[in-house]
Amino acid sequence: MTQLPIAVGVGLRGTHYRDFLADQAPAVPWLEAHSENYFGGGAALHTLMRIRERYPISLHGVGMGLASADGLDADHLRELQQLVATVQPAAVSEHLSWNRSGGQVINDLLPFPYTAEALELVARNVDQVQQALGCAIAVENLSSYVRFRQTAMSEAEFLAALVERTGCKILLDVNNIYVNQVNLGIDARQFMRALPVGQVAEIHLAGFSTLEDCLVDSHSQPVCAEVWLLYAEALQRFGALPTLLEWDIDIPPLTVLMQEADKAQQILQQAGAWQPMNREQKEHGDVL
Amino acid sequence: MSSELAQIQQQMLNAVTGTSTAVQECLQSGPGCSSERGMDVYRNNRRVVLKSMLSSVYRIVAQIVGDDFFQALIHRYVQTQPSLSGNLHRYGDKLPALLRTMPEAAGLPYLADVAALEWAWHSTYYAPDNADFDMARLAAVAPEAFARLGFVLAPALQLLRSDYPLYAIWQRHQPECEVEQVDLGMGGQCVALWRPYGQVQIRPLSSGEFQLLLALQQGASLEQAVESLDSLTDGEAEVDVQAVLGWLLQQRMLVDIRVAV
Repeated sequence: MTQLPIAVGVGLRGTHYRDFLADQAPAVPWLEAHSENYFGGGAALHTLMRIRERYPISLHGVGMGLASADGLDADHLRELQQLVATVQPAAVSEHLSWNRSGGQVINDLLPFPYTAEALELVARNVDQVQQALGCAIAVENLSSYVRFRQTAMSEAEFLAALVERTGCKILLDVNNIYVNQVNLGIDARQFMRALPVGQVAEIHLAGFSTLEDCLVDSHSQPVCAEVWLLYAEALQRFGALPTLLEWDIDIPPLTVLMQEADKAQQILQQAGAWQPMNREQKEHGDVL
Repeated sequence: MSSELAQIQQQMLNAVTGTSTAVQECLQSGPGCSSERGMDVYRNNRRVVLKSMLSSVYRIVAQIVGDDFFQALIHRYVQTQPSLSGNLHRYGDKLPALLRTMPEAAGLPYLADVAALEWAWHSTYYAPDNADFDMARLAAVAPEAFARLGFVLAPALQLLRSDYPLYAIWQRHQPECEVEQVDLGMGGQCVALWRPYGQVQIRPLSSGEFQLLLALQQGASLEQAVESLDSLTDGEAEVDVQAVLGWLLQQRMLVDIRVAV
């Protein structure tokens, strides 16, 4: 598998297909496509394959449900396997969430208690996906609106243990940890300190909306100031990484999206010379 | 034996899809988001996501019934029909069946068939691609074996039969259409949907063409498919079989052939 460029990509949405296929290809270093939108065949996949000739593609799943206690949906995994074989993406990622129970599905990214039992299960499911795809996947931290009494470790500790067990990578969504900080009271910086340096493969940035005191990770707004700060800190800790700007609701014209991506690109360029912190620094306390 | 994790997930699913509050015993509130508010976010997300899926598929149904009726319809659908796949595009297949049972829709007897057409369109759009058929294989079939020839047709091909002028209704609701009114008295229509090169195509079929294609799609040999036309009235049973086969080939709908022994 080729690798994503260390630059700021944007999410590929149907409203921008024409832009990406125009004679003058917009200057975007890479694109992330939601895997399920291209399951099956036909126009959607055909369009993605044409865009793929111009841009490196990352396939980002929203429906695998790696933490579903009932196990993975074999059909879903087969469809992803087929898509990955066709597209040959530069990266594949999924979320640390569940979506299926007793044969029913909630088409969302649902949280669960971070326990030893859950770690066992998610590790098994990640193994199964990686074996089917023949590559490591990156697993993304979640924006959650509830937390569980049964939780025995933090989500970051859970991800670190998952990496150790399965060899998967981490997709760090900086907006999600900020949303969780406000909603659930987790410490975003502590979260980043608990993640193993060298195992974070990619960063996601997005904007949230608000519902009274609660932040909703709607990907419908520009990135907020606090998240820009956290992004710079993440780059300092984990080194310069491929970064994605997501926008899913009230999607603006591509030029607006690219301006927002440019802001990230400037921060990323400043971090360009940074290397991930080495183990010695990590053991002697954090600079963050 | 159900694990603790499986139990929590089942309780949370029940809370998101319905009114159960059992999961609250497992939850803790955060400073910005109470556990009740948190569950409201998930409940709302589910409704918004599923309704927007249904709205994107059933555009003509929405045009026919108007916004109030359509919102009530998809609200009821989302309340009663669980999603069964992590692939959202699979959600919504039972809306035609719901319309057939709704007394409120009884005044629009063709509505369920329109919904079935829209679901077929959506399914054709996302159907798997098929490889081109090697015509040399057809040329190699001995003439005397032709009657026993069976076909595997493209997964994107969908065949519909309606007691109402389904194709005319579909045309009436296309953006460029200038026809004001469809005469429901013009009788039933059959329709084929397929996808030769990425884009979904639609055309009306005669009853005979429909019957022939349906039999072939269901695995009948050419001979059996032609015999199945006997169930139709004399006028309906007149089909140019060669033209239908030519159409299948030209539109890339032939995936495989087999000769029954």
